[in-house]
Amino acid sequence: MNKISRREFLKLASITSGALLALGNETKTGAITNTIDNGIPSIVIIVFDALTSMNMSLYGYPRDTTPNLERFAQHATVYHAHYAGGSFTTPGTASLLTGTYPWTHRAINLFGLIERKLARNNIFNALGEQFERLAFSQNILPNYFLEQFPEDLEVILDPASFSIDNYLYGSLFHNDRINSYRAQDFLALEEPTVLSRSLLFGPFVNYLMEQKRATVNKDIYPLGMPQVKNGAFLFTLADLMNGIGNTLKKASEPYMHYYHIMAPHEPYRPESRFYQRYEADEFVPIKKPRAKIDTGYKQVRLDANRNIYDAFIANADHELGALLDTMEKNKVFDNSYVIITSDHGEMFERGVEGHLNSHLYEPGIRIPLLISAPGQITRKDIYTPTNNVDILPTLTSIIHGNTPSWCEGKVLPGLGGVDDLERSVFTVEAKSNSTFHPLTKGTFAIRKGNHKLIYYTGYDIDDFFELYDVENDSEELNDLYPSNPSMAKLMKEELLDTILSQNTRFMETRE
Amino acid sequence: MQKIIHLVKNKIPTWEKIIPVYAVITFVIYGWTLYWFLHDLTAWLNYLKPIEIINQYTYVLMVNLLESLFILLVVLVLCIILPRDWLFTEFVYRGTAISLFIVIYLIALIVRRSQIMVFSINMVRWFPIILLLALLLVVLTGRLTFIKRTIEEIADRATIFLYLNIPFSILAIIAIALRALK
Repeated sequence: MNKISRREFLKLASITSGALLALGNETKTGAITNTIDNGIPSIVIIVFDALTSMNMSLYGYPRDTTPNLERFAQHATVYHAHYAGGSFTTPGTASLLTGTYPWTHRAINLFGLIERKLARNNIFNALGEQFERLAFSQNILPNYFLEQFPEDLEVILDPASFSIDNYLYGSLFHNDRINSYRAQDFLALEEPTVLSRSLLFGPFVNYLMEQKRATVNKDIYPLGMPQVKNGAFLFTLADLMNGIGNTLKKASEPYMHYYHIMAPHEPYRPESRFYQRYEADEFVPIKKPRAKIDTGYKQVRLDANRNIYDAFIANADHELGALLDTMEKNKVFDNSYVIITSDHGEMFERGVEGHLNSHLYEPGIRIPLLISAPGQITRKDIYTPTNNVDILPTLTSIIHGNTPSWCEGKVLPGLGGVDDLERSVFTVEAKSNSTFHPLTKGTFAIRKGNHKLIYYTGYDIDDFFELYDVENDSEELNDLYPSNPSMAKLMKEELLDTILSQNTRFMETRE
Repeated sequence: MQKIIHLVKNKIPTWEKIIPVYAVITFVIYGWTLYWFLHDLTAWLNYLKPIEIINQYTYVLMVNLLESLFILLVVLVLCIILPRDWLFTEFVYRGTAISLFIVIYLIALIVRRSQIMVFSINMVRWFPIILLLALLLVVLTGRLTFIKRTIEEIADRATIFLYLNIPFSILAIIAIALRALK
């Protein structure tokens, strides 16, 4: 690279990308005019929000929900025991972007932020200015993180990019969107039984959205058009994938692009050709005992919503197929690492629905991870437990030959890391805690080898543990905690020691 | 054109009369949002620093200002287009009463929406008629001295909140402009 850094070069030149301008929602300027070919691979990360591997045919689900991901898997490394860092978007995405667990990055609450002084410990900064770094998230929550480190990104696409309409007025305040988005979230909140926090603005925005939703063709979208739950816009999956494809087409190598897609997050809005695909099929979910806490949904409702969720996955996978075709045509797979994953899963069992609950069962935290290396033509399968905190150190290891010291993840096996069956990976659910205090209430999971231990603490009942052999009992039907005391003790000690040391370290750091 | 301007000017109340009416509007608009802000504050304190909460609230203040000005504009437009005797006369009482009606109607709309998850189309469509009926009621009840005095007293006392809400909102707009421009 010449004396002028890539960042300065990008800032001096003007944007000519027709696709970005047509989308009309780019918020930072950069120059993407020349291809730089210096042997550095490009990186594309695609995150499907709320996609659980337990509902993917790629991972053995009986419904044919992900044929295109299976196609992609033919030239990718597929991780079969991959876990989210958290059980919902905020901690899950923060873990991916920072390579740290929630007890470190502290984005543990629904609308939480990464610990301010750690914000620069992120994947974009770690990979460096040599990349054209672009991030896009339809889900507003990750946008809060992206706005925490704008200096590490050349482009942050507006969340309503690729969408039908845009009532995200917070986007008007380009340099202060972290506050304007929050304000709009507060004022125009749209939740059942919750009163609007403003008397005019919020109802006005919601009214516009309602009118827009009323114009949607019910023949194509029987349940309505896909919509971002906490953002004011509608979109089609086809437009979304087209938009991503066009953005990649215009990118200048080497680039590092992060795309966080709302599907298959609720509201589940599959097109009519997918909608009732699974209504009358032969698949019957296994009946499981009700969870001890945080339940309330009848199995009939859970089964019905699971059907629609599966249809939405199939819809998203179908449109992903078109994007994969575009990427193949543009030779993206020849010179890029393409990573497809999720931020967390989704549950329809034990009386529990969705992901904003207190549980860390497999459907809620076991997520897909597929990585296609440049020029890869054969499939590889990895069964060692891994976590989204591993993505950052893997990429820095590939690009720079080292991993950041602050990172809690490890290099992924199959991409330079070792198959370590004794390694422990964690998932944390702690949204009821203050980010400024030690974690005392929540659910913690440790996966080690074939086993997973779940620890519930601070709830209205006595603390308790559950232990499962998730490799041989992936449906978690047999709680081994009482019957396998040695494994239970081993994992319990490690988990409790880890939580204690993280809480202690947190207090020391704050002092 | 001059004639129209003169006509309009003659039907806009003086500042002394507009201020108490606007004060009541801001009291309800700001008060409603402030109530919910305090309701959500304990949750925010779990993950936001006080300065971050304040920064977010500057946008809320700006929106509240725009909302209150919009409702005032509606009342003033009514004042201009309706016969003088309807609203212009006894503007403090009638303007305050009709403003209260508008904001209470908005609250009812919101409450209804929270129950059925869509805006009641009838409540939206019928609003202009209901507003005129409300105005008629206001005119009639104005003959009851007790009601008239009470409303005027409320408007007068609400003025103190105006001297808090508006300066804070202006400061908020300045803060937003500075952050947006940096």
